[in-house]
Amino acid sequence: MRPQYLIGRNGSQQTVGGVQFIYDGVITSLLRNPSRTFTAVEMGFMMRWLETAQPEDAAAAVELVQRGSLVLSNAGWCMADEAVPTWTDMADNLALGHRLVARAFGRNASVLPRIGWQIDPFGHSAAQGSLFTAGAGFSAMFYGRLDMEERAARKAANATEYIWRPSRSLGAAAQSFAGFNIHGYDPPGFPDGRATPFHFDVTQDTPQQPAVFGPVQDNPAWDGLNVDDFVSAVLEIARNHSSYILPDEVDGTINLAWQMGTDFNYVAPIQWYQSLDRLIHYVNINTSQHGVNLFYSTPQGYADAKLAQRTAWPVKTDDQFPYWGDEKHWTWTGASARILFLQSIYLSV
Amino acid sequence: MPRARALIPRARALIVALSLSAASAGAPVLAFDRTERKAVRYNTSSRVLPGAINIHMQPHSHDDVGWLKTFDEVRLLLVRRRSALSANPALSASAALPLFAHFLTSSPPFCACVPST
Repeated sequence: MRPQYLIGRNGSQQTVGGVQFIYDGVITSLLRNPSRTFTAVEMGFMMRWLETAQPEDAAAAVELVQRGSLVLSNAGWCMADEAVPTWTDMADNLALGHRLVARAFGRNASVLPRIGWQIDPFGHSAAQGSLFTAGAGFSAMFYGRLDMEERAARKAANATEYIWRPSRSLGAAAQSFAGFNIHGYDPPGFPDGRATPFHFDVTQDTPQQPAVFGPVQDNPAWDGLNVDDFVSAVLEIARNHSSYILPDEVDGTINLAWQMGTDFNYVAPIQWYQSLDRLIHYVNINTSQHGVNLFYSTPQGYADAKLAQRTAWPVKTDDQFPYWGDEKHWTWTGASARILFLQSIYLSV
Repeated sequence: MPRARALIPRARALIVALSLSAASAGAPVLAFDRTERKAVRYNTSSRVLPGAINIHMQPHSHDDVGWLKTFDEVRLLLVRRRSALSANPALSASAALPLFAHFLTSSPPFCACVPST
């Protein structure tokens, strides 16, 4: 693999900080506060980084994974597209990643990946939702992109999360919990469409799109004190989000997931963790009044909370193709034709 | 902006610090009064609370392992992989990739633009 995204050299095409710096910085941030968490997904990068990291840094990464601060989600070599690859290559992708995880980090239950994290693929296949979720030992799969009409219908029906049983032959033996994220894989924006105030990354505050409030600033002696703005934003967005999420039917507990990051974020992780630490602190001072409780979590922790809920989840039995994206004129056509073309190449040689 | 009154203790401390440094040559002296520093210890230890609206924040970075390659870059990659594999077939973890590379270098129209590698 060409290492540009790992070492940080592809600036001519997109803003790329270098995944090696992301891992190095995240490990430092996690060591400084054991409440903090991070989820790592692409083992192609993780293994390359581990090969050349200093021994004490690699050891710190192993310690953080075993402690549950650094959590591995999906953990294939990469995050496979679901429309085009052959299922054998999809199996190889996950198997290779998981084998490397077991070898580098150990085999105990807290280490091995148990969540599918398909946040970028354009549509989702029955094979992914069965063979490569339950079949891979995952209890849940979370994803980002889905057909715009299905998204609207599911939000209206409070059915954004469900039991997914997409294999006609394997049925319930290969089902799992599944659901889509609030905003693809970005932090949530305001209900009226205003941009998210939670883009704390250095790459997200640009002249073209300035940060909404900036970092959480809690020193009254300085300009720009914005704690109240942030707490109000959290409450407003949380109340809107929870209006279409199914609660626990006995005690009303609601669990929401907010993805705090986007493409190639966390090169300077303290920008995130400083503001997230403060958000948690200031929101939770008044949990008994407003009922909102904020904390560091992971896709695994979120799935555990969902599966512990006493809730009658709806069931979905179909796959998620074809994919008609977020805007009216953004449709992924030709995926089926591409599959046949590629497979005919493999078979013809 | 701090009020003017609040500045007075700081100014006083500054003057004291500067005069100390003038008096005792050698040891460096802090230029502001550290006793006024107020650092907040943030309570970040919360977990799921029954009955509440629990927001699970998931710090993550979405890092594509490979993307934004031109067709030529992908083809070159496969061509080089095929050469390596014909030298050592034991390297192959999957049959699909070398077969695809073979197709790209031997079937028209792709073979017409295979560079000398």
